[in-house]
Amino acid sequence: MSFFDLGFAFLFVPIVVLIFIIVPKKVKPLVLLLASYILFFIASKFLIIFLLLSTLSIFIAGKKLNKIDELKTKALEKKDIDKKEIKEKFKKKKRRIVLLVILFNIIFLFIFKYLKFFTININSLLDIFKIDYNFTIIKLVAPIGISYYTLKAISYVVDVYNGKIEADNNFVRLALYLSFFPQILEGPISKYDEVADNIYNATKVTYHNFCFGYQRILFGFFKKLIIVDRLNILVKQVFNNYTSFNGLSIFIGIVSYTMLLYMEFSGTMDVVIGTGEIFGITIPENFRQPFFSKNITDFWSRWHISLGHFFKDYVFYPVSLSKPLKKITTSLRKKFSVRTSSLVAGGIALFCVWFLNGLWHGAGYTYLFFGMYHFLLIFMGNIFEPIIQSICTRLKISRTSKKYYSLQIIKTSILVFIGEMFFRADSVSQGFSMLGRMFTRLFVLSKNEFYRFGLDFYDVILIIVGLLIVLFIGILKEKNISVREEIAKKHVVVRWLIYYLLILSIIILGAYGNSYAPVDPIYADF
Amino acid sequence: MERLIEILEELNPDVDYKTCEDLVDGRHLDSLTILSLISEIEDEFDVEIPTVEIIPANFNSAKSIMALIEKLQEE
Amino acid sequence: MKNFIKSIIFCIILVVLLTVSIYFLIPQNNIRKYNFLNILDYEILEEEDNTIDVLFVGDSLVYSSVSPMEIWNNFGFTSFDCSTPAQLTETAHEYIKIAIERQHPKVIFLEANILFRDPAKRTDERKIKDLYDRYSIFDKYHDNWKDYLSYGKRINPTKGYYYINRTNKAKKNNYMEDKKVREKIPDINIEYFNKIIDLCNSNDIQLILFGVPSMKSWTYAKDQKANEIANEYNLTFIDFNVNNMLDIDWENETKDEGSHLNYKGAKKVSQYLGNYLFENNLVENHKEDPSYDDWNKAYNKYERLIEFN
Repeated sequence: MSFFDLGFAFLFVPIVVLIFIIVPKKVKPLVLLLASYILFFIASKFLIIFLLLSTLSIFIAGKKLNKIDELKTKALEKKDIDKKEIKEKFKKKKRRIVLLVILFNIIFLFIFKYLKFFTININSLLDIFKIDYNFTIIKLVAPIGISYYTLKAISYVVDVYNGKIEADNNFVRLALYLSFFPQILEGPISKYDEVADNIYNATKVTYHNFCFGYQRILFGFFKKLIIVDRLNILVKQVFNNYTSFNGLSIFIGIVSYTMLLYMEFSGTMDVVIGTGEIFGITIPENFRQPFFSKNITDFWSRWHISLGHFFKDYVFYPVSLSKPLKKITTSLRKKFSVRTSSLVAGGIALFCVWFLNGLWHGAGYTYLFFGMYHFLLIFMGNIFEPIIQSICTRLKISRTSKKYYSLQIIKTSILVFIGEMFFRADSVSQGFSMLGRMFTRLFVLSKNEFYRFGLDFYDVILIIVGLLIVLFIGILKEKNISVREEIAKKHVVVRWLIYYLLILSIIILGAYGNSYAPVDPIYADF
Repeated sequence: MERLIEILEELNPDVDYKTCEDLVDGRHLDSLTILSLISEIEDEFDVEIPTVEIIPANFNSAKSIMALIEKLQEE
Repeated sequence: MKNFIKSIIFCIILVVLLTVSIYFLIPQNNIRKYNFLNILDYEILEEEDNTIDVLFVGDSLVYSSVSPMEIWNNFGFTSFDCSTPAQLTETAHEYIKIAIERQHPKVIFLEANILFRDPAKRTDERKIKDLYDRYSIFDKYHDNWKDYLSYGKRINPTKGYYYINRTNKAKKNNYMEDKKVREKIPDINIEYFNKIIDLCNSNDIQLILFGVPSMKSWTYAKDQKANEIANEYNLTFIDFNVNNMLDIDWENETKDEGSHLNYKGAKKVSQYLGNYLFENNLVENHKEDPSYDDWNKAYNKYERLIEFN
């Protein structure tokens, strides 16, 4: 399934909107929930049972945690007691429940996503030790979006545990939070307090929201049909036949792949957020002009934002501020500066974040490598930061100047391109050999070097113009100008002209039909 | 308050902490810096900052960080 | 209410714009000569008059198994797949009738499977699909602006063939085993089959029956019946299914578990048919004829399609 199916945006959504409008207010959340389950069922059939199990597990856990809190308050009201001991006791109880629920949800994720990778590795391990036994490799088709809703489920129970939010007594609201149909396939992994009420309390579809929502959806289609499905041809050619391309072509290939990934994922988010917008539901953004980042840390706060937040809140801080690591930090404080002493705890936490981030993207060594690559970049960046700072002061280089910022953007982008190259490569060694070719055979021209990209002149022009339009909108956004608001202010003739241009360009210039193979949704497999 | 601003300036001198209202949202403080900041604050003000409190709203300005410290000191 | 009217106006203008763009995207060479809807139904009308020597008529089995461009490249014969999804015998008759108004083919290959398709048993789902196929204009033609900019006219790179290179291997299935059942051809199909034969006779066209390799659409019973019919009407029947004549590798040469062939399979079928035309000296080689230069352009496009998809 893909949100770029015409059937989703122009059949499914309108039908849901129509039913949503005519039913009484009380039933509206149920309509959304039903729509979500129907969509899930269309894509994954009876695997929907796992979504229901997850929902049920966090619902019960939330209630249990609430109950324990009530009991705790009661227990604390008694006099002549050791408050600390009681608090500890209840905290332990709560922790046990949370761990149990997390485990329960992770097990499904593990079985569906990692079992195959795991058994393959066990088998090769057995081979090394000459043990003549092999486990059967089972490859299961996972329920759609399991990587996304599992993280949402975890964030909910942990937030309840921490007292950040109250446990939900309303099953429909919680179920909707976990399964709201635009978000089910590729996220964003919104937190409960960001969206749950918002979705549950959606009441009407206004003309304004309807138009704005569909504009956003169309923009997503623009990215996908004009840019992504064209770039795909080039990317496939370069990655599948990299040994026959020179370094320059490989560089073009990896830039194209990163652009493809960005356009595909952010385009899907346009459809997701636009669909939410139709119902008046604000889904937090998942991208914020990632290619204006000054370093890799900055990049990850602009690219797949919701995943970064998840890891920061539920892995980075809990790990780095855990008791054993805190002890290390305090003992180092006696000898080193603040920054240096936090590096150990921070480094370990960062390692965990990026190990899990790699693993989350998929069971494979390329993904783990991708995670470790970013870990190293961010960690090194932090180690060298003071050194760069002092060099810049000494050489009187202004770190806030435009020139410096542009150089930072270029550096960060190239590092990202290389990371995504490993992400796309079939194996880590393919990644390295592509990297090697980029340095050793940069300009060695072979026969039909550029013809073999598989794109004709018009395709190239369209890709470049498409990217420039997206870039232009991005620059305006960086300056806090909303293009859509600007367009909305224009005279109706200009406004409609822009819309017609957008629609017609998608229909006529889109890369679909017999001569193009569409890209499958990349992020849906993670 | 002055002590807090000193700490902040030591960690990242490029920001004017008296006026800045988006330390986290504007990405002037990255997560590793926040980590250093926390350990420094815990040392200096003798409080313990639980992970739940590490949200942008509490760290977006020197004022809000101070408010957090005061709140924790009271507890 | 105001917004409602506004939306209606918006949609009306959109429909007008789309219609105008369709007019420009539909093959210009022929739009003035033919009814607009005819072009949608009969792809062959895009071709220049009197250029096609061979027609392959039938259902999806034909457009996934016979690639006229392969035949052009290897033999220099011009051919076209006059095939539509789940084609009926009556549609085949209609298609041939329309086609020979503008083309003078010397040979028509009629795929035998369509004789067994009963129009009375047409499902609603199929009817909706037919409608969709008919009106998915943009799917077929939206990319034509590239041709107009490069060549000044539409160049059809596949000549009716539907290129798919995907492989989805078939399970082992002895579909040509005698299951002791008989297959019947509906009377209405016989009626139209006779009409097709009359058309061919009166236009001096040689009619040849053929059965495309298909594990799922073809059976032993159909094979028996098709042979019977061929004998009865004294027609040649090229029977690819019997003893797996082309050595189709059902693990690698089918796109949907044995129902249709993929590109690899289609190459084999096309090669055989081209060779058949060549050996029996049925049509002329136009490879060196400068007036057929469009076919070379089309082949370049076709080559790109094959190489990069």
